[in-house]
Amino acid sequence: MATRALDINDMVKDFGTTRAVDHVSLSLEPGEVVGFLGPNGAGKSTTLRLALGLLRPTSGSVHVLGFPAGSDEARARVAYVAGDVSLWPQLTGEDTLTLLASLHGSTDGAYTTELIERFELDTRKRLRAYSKGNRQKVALIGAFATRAEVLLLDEPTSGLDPLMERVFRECVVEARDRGQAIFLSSHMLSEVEHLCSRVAMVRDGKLVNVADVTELQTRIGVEFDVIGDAGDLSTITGVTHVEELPDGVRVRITGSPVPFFAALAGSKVTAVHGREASLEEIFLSYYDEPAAP
Amino acid sequence: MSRSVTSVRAVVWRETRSSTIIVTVLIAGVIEIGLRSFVASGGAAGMLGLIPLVRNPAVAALYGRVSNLDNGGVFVVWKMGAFLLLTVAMWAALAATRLTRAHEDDGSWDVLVLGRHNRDSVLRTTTLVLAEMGATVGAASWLVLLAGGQTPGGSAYFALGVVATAWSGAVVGLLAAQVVAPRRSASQVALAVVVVAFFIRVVADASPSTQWLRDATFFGWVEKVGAFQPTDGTALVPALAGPVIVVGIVWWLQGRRDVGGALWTHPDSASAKPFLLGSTWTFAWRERSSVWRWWTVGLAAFGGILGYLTHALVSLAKTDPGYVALLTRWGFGAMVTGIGFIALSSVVMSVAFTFLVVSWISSVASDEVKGRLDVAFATGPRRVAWLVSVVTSALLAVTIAAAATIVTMWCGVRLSGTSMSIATVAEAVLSALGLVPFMVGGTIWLVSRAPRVTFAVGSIFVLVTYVVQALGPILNWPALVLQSDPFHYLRAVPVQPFDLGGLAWVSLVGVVVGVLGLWRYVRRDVVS
Repeated sequence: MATRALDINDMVKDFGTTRAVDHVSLSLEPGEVVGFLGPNGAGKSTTLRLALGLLRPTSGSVHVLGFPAGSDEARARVAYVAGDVSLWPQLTGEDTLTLLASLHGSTDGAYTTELIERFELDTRKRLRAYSKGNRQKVALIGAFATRAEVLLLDEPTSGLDPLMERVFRECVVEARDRGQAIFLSSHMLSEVEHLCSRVAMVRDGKLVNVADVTELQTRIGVEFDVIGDAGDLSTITGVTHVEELPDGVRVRITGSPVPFFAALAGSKVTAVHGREASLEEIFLSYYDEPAAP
Repeated sequence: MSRSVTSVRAVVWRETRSSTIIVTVLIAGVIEIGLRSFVASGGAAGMLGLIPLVRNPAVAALYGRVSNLDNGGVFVVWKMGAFLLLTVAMWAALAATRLTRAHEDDGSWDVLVLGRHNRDSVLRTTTLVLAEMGATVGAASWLVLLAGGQTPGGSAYFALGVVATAWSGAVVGLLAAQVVAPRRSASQVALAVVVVAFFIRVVADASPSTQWLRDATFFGWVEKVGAFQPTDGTALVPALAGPVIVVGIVWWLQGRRDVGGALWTHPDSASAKPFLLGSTWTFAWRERSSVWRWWTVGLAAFGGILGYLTHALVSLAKTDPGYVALLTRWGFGAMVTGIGFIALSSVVMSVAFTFLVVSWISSVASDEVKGRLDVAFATGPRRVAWLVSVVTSALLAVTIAAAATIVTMWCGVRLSGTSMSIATVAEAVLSALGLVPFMVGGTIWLVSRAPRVTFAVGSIFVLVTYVVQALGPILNWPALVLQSDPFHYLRAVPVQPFDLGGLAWVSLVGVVVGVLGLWRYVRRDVVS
């Protein structure tokens, strides 16, 4: 069996009496992009920092490609973008990238040049003169340029404009296609939805779900706007929610839609518009419920 | 006062509360120790023999000029005044740059100046808080002196001198923050101005012909007040009014620039300078090289001045052998020769050397707390390599600074007409590095245990232990206390023999503490 890119096993992290990470277990395979979602303070950044060896777990273990997190072997195979990029303000962008490259020990210089161009970064500026988004670009370029086998990205598109977000997504796809594993913590649900094959959701330090994105969408169901008089659809098998609209109803269906369409046959419906549930709705459905005691 | 202004005031005070308390306690403690040492030394009668020393130009240059030593208050002014006022001025200057320029740099100023406030009101409130900080330290000084039985008038003049010095340091910081960006540069400029002002006072007191220079520095104005001596209260006018006038200039300057802007700043863009970015070892030096430059220039300048003052003491010794015998009895015998003065001066300079080492290594903790080391520690070198590279660069920095000081001190000695070999000067200055291993180990331990307060705790430790060494013997403190103080093992080399055993013991303690700190450092969580 191939070695997992990231293997977090029953990890607990306490800060005094506060439990920030509560028995979290999840894994990441090479060539996989996994999203990590959760509200503010849920433990996402803490989990990432544990995976990097910056924090020591209270119990449990973390391995990167089979090596303990924070070990020399693990650090050589990992790249990281912090949630709040803080580097040396008097260095220029170019000097910072030079420094990051020498600290990591292996960087693709040609790819660095390409990324600078794609991200449209003016590397002559000092870091203190950069906007938040440009500082983020420096960190992203520094991380992608390492061609590291595992990329741990904490809200990587924070501060990026939509054009640069697209460049970021392209870079993630390229990295994934090269066999690199990416662990992506983000609030940009649309971004996670498009990039990630799996999503891990965390709340109050606990992992509430890990599932394929498509599976989650199926679980929540598909939504249809029915325009016209469709009668009472609430009793139809598979219909979980009915909402009145000015010109019809909105229904949510889980499972097979056949009973629903059968019920529409012969009705005075003029149009049916369908869409899959978004990750945002999935996310909110988990966090609208009160936490378990 | 409106509620919103009260809120701004509360925010600013909260930021400075801890340092104000620490400095107030430190200043009050040093004054109290000074008063007690005056009593322990026999009071006014016991001080009679020191009067020629007090009036010696070299001593006057270092300690300041006083007309007598007939009360505890003037003894405090003479023995501790220079140290106290320099500390207060530097603290106030750094506080001012932190409360203004630092907040503009990190964007938190933007939040304060929106809504009901504008930039003027926030700067006014900040200035008011800085003034209150100075008044707090002054009030504490006044109370300690009163409680120590000193005259109310003398105590008040001394306290007002402390206030004036604090205010002066603060406006230097405020002015630097308006003119220079970013904060690090503004702080360096502010400290440089304070140190230059202090040096001007030193030169002013070195000779009657240079006394006029006292009017060129706030340290000089405060000295001219003459607390606990024949007092010139009018000298308080420029001392207190000067800062008020400069504050007006500060407010005027702020109105003429953008938030975050400055009259002078490093250019936002620069060509790539990849030198010294190839490894942690070289980057450790590059990152701190500007700090090293300031320290080296300052130490070298101070060394040169000290060297130049040698002649004044040698001349005194030649004219009065009886005085020499008296000073020997007081423990100042070494000072009446050129070599002795250089040796004792080097003990003083050891404080500066240890400060350099503490501040240099503390920057690792500062970078960690700011989150700058997350990527490095997650994907780059081992933490131990990072810290060791910084320690190595600190040792290199202090060695080069000492070498520069040796050269300038010897040049000063030669210019003063005193015959002394550079080897003798080197022996004295290098012996002052004897506490560096201990301070390195101690700072590493602080980085491992208390990264958020490493510099503050380390600095206070250096100051307190130096004061204990300076005054503890006079106060007949227990031998255990004195022998626990690392400065106890620094001797006035070459007049006194190098305490190899004592310093070896202290260095061993430093190594053990440092190793323990290193062990803890690589195992604890990275703070950010």
